[in-house]
Amino acid sequence: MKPQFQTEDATFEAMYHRHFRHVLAYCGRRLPTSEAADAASDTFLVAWRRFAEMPEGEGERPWLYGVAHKVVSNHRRSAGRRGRLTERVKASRRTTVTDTAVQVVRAEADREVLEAVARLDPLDREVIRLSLWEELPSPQVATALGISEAAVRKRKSRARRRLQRRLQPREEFAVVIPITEAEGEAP
Amino acid sequence: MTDVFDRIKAANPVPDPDRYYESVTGDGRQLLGSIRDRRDHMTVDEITRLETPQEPPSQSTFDRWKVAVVAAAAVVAVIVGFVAIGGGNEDVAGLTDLEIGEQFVALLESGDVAGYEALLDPDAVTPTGPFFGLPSETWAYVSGFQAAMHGTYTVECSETPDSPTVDVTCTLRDTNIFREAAGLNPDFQAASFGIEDGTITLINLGADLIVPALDQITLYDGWLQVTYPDEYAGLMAALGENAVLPTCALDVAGVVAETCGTADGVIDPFFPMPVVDTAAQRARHSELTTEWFGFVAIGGGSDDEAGSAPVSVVVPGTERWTDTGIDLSVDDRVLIEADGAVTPSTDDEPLYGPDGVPDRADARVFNLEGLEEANHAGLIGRIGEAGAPFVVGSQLLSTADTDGRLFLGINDTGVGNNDGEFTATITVNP
Repeated sequence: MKPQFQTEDATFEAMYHRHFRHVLAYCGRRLPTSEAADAASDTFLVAWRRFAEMPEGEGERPWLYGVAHKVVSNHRRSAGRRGRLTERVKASRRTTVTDTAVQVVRAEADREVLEAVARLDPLDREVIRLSLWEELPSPQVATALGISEAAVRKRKSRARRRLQRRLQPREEFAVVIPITEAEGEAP
Repeated sequence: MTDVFDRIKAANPVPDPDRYYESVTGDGRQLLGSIRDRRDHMTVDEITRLETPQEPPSQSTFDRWKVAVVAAAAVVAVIVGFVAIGGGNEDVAGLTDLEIGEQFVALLESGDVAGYEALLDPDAVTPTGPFFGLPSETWAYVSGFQAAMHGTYTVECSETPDSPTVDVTCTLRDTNIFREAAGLNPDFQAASFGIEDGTITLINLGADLIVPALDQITLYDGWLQVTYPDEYAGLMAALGENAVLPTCALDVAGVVAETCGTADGVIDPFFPMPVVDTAAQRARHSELTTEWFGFVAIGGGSDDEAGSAPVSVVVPGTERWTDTGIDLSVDDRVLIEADGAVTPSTDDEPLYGPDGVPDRADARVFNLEGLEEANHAGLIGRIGEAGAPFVVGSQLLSTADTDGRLFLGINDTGVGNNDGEFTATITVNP
């Protein structure tokens, strides 16, 4: 229930100012910068239309992220764009990093990580991003995605294993590969 | 080592929402105003577009294959794809169990890891991967392998309403030119799925689906090791520098590339060999490898050696050895192709081709010394009067390991009761 002494618009505007920057950042982490503002705008447009369904307090932002998740998915699908990952990698370059060589290494490391994340199951991927980028605790991730807390924990655990497998063996690959059975490690 | 979650946090493309907001929106109040304006003037179509999940873009499996084939211009691939089924499945609502099963296999085949994992109930899979411990990357590799093999791969699925455990069973039929060269029939596998509420909760895939010669494969976490027969030592040495090409170039889903590269000089573990157990099959295999990789796989020789004209020689079934009149030198490559028919006994025995009598242990007791396990009465050869005999069969591409005259003969100690003849066409340094 919203406060009686405010109009719904005023309440919405207050909510908008509390959360817009975070929703915009959410969209910016998943879409090219050129589309992020539109997606954030669409998210709040849906939120406005569904304002009566929106939970209050700590539930507001996860609920908005849940809306944004669907909006971003629609943006991707309808646009059918390619190269989103590249866009995000470009966006990921920190302005605070001044050394060119460090910047290149940083971008390469980020690219590798972002590619590994992008290859996760879509729901696992969103669990990981909400947890690590939006820094939501598991109950709020569950709220945002409409799944149980147990499912969030399982998906995080599974995603961690897969990411470790995808990211860590690369540096060991050249030295671990056995040529003969005698040299091989136990499967 | 840095925790993987820490690395993901550090790779956050928008670490500071406030700075991002300033750089993207300019005046946020104007944005709020535009949202209000849109809210007040939305059409039904706009509302529908905004609030209804849209279908993922359709990309047929066959199109993926075509892209892969184009990427590997050197390979004349013949791919029989599946019925086009959309990839990237985030939403399986509304699909029948049968469609889910078919979609799963199609995604598996296309190497769309995210797609087929989306069909899996995460609570139902094993701790190390969805396929009873097989890492997902392996299956992406399977698709690259199939493509690299010039393979055809088809699937038929049906519902199994009477089964208490599975809802859909798919039969997978695959073959490839190496498999055919090795004389192996197409491989049939069954894949069964239990499906609940639009999600696969049970999978039973035959492990032999990975490669035809499973006994040569050792599965490790994330990659495969292939143990080659000793006779492939030369081939593998030659492939060492080139073996990464077929699987990398033929990557469909963008996954194989992660693992196809190996350290310099290390045998590519992603290029398994089929079982090859006759000289003719080895020759065909070698020929195919030569065609693919542009170099002679087994044996030496250089491209600028002048090849001889083919020589045709009749090999009577009643002669132990026939002098071909061809003198070979060490490292000469020899291609022998033969046809014709011989019967090892005029007592009601049928005629057999140059590959001899298959699967007859009782007949092999009459084989020549050194060829006890080869097919009886098949075409054989030797270099020099006292050279060790070797199997020729209907086709052989090999390299001379000594100087001497080439003889062809019949793998039979008692040729007196034989009949018929083989005709061999011999090309030196083809």
